Amino acid sequence: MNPEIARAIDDVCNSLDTDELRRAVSRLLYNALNNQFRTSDILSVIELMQSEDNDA
Amino acid sequence: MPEAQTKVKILGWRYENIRGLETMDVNLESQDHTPYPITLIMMPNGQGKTTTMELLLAAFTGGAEHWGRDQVLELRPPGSTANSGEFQLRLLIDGQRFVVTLELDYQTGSASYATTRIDISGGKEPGHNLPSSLKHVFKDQFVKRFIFDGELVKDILNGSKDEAEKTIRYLHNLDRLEELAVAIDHVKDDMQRERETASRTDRGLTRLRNQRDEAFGQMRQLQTRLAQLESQFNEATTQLEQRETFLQHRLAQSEQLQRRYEESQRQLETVRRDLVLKGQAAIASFREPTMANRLIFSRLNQLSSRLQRLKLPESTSRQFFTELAEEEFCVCGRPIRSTERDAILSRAESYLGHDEYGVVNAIKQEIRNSTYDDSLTDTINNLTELLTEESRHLSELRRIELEQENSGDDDVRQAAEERDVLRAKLTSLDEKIPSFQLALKTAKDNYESLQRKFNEATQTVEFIRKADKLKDITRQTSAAALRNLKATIIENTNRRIADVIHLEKISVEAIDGHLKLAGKGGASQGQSLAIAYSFLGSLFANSAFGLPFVVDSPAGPLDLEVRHEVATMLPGLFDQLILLVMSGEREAFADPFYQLAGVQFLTVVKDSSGPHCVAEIETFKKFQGGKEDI
Repeated sequence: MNPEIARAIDDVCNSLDTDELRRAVSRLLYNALNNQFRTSDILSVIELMQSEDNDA
Repeated sequence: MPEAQTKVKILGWRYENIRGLETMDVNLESQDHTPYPITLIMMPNGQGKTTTMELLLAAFTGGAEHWGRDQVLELRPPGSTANSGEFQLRLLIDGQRFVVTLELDYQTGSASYATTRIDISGGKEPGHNLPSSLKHVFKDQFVKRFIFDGELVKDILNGSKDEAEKTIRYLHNLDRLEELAVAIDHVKDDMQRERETASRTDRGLTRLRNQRDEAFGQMRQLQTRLAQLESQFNEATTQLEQRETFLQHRLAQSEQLQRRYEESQRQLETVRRDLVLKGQAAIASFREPTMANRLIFSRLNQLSSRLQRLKLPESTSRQFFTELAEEEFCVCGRPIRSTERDAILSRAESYLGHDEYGVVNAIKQEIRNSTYDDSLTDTINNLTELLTEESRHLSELRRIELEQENSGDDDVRQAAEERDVLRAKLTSLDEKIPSFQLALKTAKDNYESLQRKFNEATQTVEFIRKADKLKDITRQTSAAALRNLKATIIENTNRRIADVIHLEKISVEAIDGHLKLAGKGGASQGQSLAIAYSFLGSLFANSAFGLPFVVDSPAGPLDLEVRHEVATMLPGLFDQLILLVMSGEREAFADPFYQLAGVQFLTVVKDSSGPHCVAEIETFKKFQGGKEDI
């Protein structure tokens, strides 16, 4: 991964609330850049965002 | 240099039954079976080069399967009875050899692919099977950045184009983040459709969806139209700047006209500055009604006096009657029953409330304290004079321009005519664009409102909100990545520019769609190309792929002096450079390459046995080829 792109992902994900969400979003973005994401990955991240909101 | 760069090199290619090129092999391998770092291929003007670029593009992308019958049959040699044709591209990808064969069926007018992975399976397999790390990368727009039309290099610095930014996006796959955003939209749509199906009986929902889709269509139409208008505006602005620069340049040749022109322009700027200041002062004065004119001031004073006389005691305000209605007895001693109470409360509305009373008092106070003078009238008179003066300076400038146009120079006359047409076009676009912006805003608000209602109706509000947040994160990442990449690419490009342009200090200041140079001074044509190629070289060095760079007509439109400049800088920019040149381009351009080691010179010549490729420097140097050769 190009270091400039990796830095952009880190910077954006750092603003997210929890480590789990940061990891999930970051993984999704890396996979998207490598053309390897699936619809189920998007759904998982959205569900995680919802459940974390509910916990809060 | 990024880690684990996938290296792609072209080892050569072969045509079989291809129009203009018949059956011929182009070998780019040196004796040790590695490709030459630089190959110049002399090809006659006409179809040979264009066809080769088209076939190379198709061999990388796998896109020929979608070609129409006519496109396939155009490649069949005229008068040939051959039922099929072929283009084979030999590649070295991370040290492994691949052959992509584009098979052309001239009977059915269709194209298909086969791939041979020599170092892996050895056999020829149907399909376009490059390694998976490249398969999804080699899309049309990506491949066009390294199978490159030399003419496109000018667009990199053209202010009305966004070629530079697009190239960064494509070479770094940032468009995939946009694909992710689109996929998130699909997930949202699927979720809503699922919920909609669950409540299929609800006709209102279907109607709402149709309305939303219609609003979306309108919004998209307006977006497209606005983008077209804005692009026309940018293009016309650039063209106008070019005409004005040209006319300025010619004007400078006539010193007297130039002096008059500069003086008028200086005065015009002073007048316009004054207009802004006086305009602001006039607007400030308009905010005080007593200053508008003497009659209004006197009428307002009369009103103020009458308000003084009519001074209402605070106790007669609406609140007094509201409080009174709650009492058992009136101030006159009579009992207040429900009939009286209702009457008092309804009539209380006729009196001023505390807040309104305060406003009336403030108005009275304001009028009492105000004075009248003629400053606004003076300001307006002043503005009128300034507008007349502005118009006088504009007429003087126009007169000088006409004098210049009538000086008998056709180029100047033509440029002036074009400038006037462009000015009129810009004025018309300037009037149109705001109305489209407003219409787009309304359409967008309408769409968003319908989308919100639809979300509520399908009970997907929360889901959509989170999906939108994820989409926003995706776009933020794309923007941040582009920002970071631009900074590094600008730094590397400037380093390369400093290596090739020694006499002047030229540097890229920003990438805003196109490359923006620091300072106001422009660059010569040769410098522009040097800058554009420096940019491309930096971009390639910084990308995840080590790619060959194939350019068609790299020196075509250049002056001899400029050609030499560009030829000197090109070799250091790319790992593998393949230049398709015409005999007319050789002069001044090829010389620097003759001195370098590791350069192969190929010439496509035609004799009685048909076209073939000659790998001799002397043939390359002497070849004279026009369209008639092939």
